[in-house]
Amino acid sequence: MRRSPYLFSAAITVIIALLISASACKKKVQPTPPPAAVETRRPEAPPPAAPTISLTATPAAIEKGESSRLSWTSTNATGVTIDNGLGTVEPSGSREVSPSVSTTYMARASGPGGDAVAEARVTVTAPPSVTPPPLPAISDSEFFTSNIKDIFFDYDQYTIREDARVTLMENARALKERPGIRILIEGHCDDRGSEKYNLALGDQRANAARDFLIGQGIEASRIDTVSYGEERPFCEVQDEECWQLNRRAHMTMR
Amino acid sequence: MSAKIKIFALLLVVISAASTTLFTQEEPPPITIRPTPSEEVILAVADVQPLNAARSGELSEAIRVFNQVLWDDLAFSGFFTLAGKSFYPPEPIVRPEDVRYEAWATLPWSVSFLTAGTLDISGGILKAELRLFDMKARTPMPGLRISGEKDQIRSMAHRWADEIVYRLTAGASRGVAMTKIAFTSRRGNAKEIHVMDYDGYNSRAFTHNNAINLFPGWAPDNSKLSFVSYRTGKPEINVYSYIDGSRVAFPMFNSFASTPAISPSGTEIAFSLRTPRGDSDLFVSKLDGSGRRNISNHPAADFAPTWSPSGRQIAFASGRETRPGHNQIYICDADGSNVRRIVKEGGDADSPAWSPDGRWIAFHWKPYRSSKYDIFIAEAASGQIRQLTSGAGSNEVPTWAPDGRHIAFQSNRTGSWQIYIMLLDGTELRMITRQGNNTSPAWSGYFRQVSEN
Amino acid sequence: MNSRSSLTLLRIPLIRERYAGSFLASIGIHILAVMLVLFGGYLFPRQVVQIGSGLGGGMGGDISTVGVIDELSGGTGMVKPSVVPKPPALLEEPPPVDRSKAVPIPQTIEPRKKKPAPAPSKPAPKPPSSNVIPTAPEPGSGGTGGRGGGSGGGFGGGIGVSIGSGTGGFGDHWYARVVEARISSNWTRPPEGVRVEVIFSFDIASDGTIRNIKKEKSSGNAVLDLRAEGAIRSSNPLSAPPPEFRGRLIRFMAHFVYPPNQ
Repeated sequence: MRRSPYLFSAAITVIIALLISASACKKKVQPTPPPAAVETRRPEAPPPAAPTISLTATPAAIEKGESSRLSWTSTNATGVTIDNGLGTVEPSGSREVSPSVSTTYMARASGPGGDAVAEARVTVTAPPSVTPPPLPAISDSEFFTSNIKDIFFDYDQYTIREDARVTLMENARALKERPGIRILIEGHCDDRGSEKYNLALGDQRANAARDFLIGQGIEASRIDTVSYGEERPFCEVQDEECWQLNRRAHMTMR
Repeated sequence: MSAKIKIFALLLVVISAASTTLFTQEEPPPITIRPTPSEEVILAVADVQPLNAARSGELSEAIRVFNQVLWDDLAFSGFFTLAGKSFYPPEPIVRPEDVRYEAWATLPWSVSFLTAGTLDISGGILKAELRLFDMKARTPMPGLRISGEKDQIRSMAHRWADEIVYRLTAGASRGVAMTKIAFTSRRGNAKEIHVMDYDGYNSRAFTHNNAINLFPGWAPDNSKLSFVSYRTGKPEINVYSYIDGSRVAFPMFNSFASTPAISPSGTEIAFSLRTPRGDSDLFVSKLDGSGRRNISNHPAADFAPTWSPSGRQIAFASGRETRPGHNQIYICDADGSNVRRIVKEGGDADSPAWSPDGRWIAFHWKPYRSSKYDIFIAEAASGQIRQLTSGAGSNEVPTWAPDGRHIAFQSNRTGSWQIYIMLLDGTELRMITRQGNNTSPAWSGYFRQVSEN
Repeated sequence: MNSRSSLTLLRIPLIRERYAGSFLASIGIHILAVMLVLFGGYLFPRQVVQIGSGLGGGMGGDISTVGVIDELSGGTGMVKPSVVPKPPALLEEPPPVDRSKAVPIPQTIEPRKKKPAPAPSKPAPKPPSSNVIPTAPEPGSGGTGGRGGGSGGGFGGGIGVSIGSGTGGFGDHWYARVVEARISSNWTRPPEGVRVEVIFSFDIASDGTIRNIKKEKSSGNAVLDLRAEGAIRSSNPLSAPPPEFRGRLIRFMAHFVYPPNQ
């Protein structure tokens, strides 16, 4: 068929335009849903009355630790529950509550006529701030005396024994707690060696303790040492018990 | 030729021959030194007499003290056998001609020498005129006039005792009667340095700092005392003039410094000092602290240096080579080289002291588990050891008298620490301190020059 | 000829009369010379020792004077109380030596029976330690020598210093005796059975120092010679000679002989 090409293309164009407009129309036009049918209430046997409930908290604001009285009344309710721990309660009544934080209590009255809820809020305010009396602070020297202990050595030795290690580690902990404390370590000996040797040995003992504390992280500038050899004995009895007490590194504050 | 001439010629020959022979005999015949059994020098010590009988009452106490001190000094010297006074001819000797040699010759022993003299007082000054007598040659010897104040009577007797020792030993000793001993005396919680006469009298405090002061030592000319003091809080080396008490500047180390010893030249000082390594090494410096150098450089504790009299060597105690608490005695050159150990025993040895003649090193030593030391001497060259003390108590810190024949040391044999002096063979033992606790003796050098005679 | 035969024994040639005059003159001169040599010591004494009665006054020579002693003549270090502050409390003066409490300490060292040879030359005690070597007693370890025999007399042993005989040989002077004793105590004797005889000479200056040590006669053994010389050297300095020798050099001859009684 010999139609005019122009006619053919024009027809296609029209179709396309119609399609486009149709879709456009569809977009534009949306049918509004019909309004819901209105149910008319048919008169029946008189329906049950709806419950009512009212809930009040008195007082509405309390301080922490105080209590408030929740009171409610309801009508037409067969069951009333109140949340926040009260649970099922009588239709009308009251309860004392003592929330620690502000709480909104909701009471629900349920009956054949339905449910009703009521809320009451108890606001818990912080008590007026009373500054607690200050705890007594321990002075550095009391702290020192309580926490930093002497260590003891074997005869002629300046190496740190096991028990001394433990003590020194505790000393180090304590020293870290009070960074302002500076310590003087005195090295002492029993009197059985010669005086000259004991002066050198006391120095070695004091320095051994110092090195250990530095190894535990105490700053070297906080620690000083001095040897007293056998010149300042703790006791002067000639027996092993006293000798051991004399073989010490004595800690003092400086 | 005439006969006369012949005879004359003969005579001439004879005379010439004879004179030649005689002439060769002119050479001074030698002293023959024969090792006969020890010839004791028996010394008679006649009581000094008042020069003027009128003043004998006034002088009685001074005379008594003089005679007692002189006797004790001469006995302690160890050079003489003192003839007992009860045997002496009774006549007091006031003038040289009072000595009746024939009477003395009848004594049970053969007295070699006699000392006698007089004491007078005028203007508050005591004047002694003292003389020795050669009892073999039966002649007086040169004397000495000594004067002093009343409270110096002991020093006057000491002076004469030293003169006798010096002369009669031909200078082997200059006499120790005028020497001093420095030591540490406990005074409550403090320990102060004191100085006393060698016999314990006239003790005076040298330090008054109410701190702990330890280990005194003398400069060789007695001009200074060195010691350790805690007066600044730490053990520091202190050097003070003994002449006027002024301090000689020496650095403080604020750590640990101990056991100083001034060199024989008087210009250097050796001491023990803590090193950054944490042990103590021996250091030598000038007396003002300059030029300080480490001469031991060893991780063990080195301490208690003592100089040889030449100043070329140092002996010291060290814990190297042995277990802790086992110190030994070592010698090194003054620069620290050529270290050798001279006490090869176990046990614990320290506090070495070099004898004035360089031959011996005295020290104290104990077996390890004992708490009791004794004094020993080791021959520096050979290492041979001899024991000088034994018995009860601990005997420590030997120090030599300047004539090398006596030592002083500390001992607790009576229950408290006291200073003792004795001859090397242990005789003439004397306790020269009595009260409190007294330790760490250091014997001075000679106080007297011997230019005069 | 008679004269000749009488002199042949002496093998001296006959001197002719012709020369008698000069011969006599020569003889005279020789005799004079001999006399001078023999007796010149009196005219020009070098070291003259006159002891005892030789010196006038009999006061035994000089007395030297030492001043007030608090200066301790020449010594340093006397603490002057005005400079050193008075101590707060003096130690009590100890009582006179209580010898009843003086316990001789060492049980292991021989107590001195006789006098002074210094302890180090004594036999060693029982050693507590391994390098103590008990030394055999030295022969003559107690030996301070006897004087060289003879009493008085210039040449009878002792040191003859003066040239000239007689009056009081120096050998008996106390100074000679103490010097000899000191040198003898420093002399290490040779081992048992070894004979030694060695002579040294030396001079003593007025301050007591020993000078010019010279070996006059060797023992034939260098070691023994050295020991004798060592005895002299280790006695240096001696004490200053007494005033009678002041200003003069004393020549000393030391004759070391061992064993004794040779």
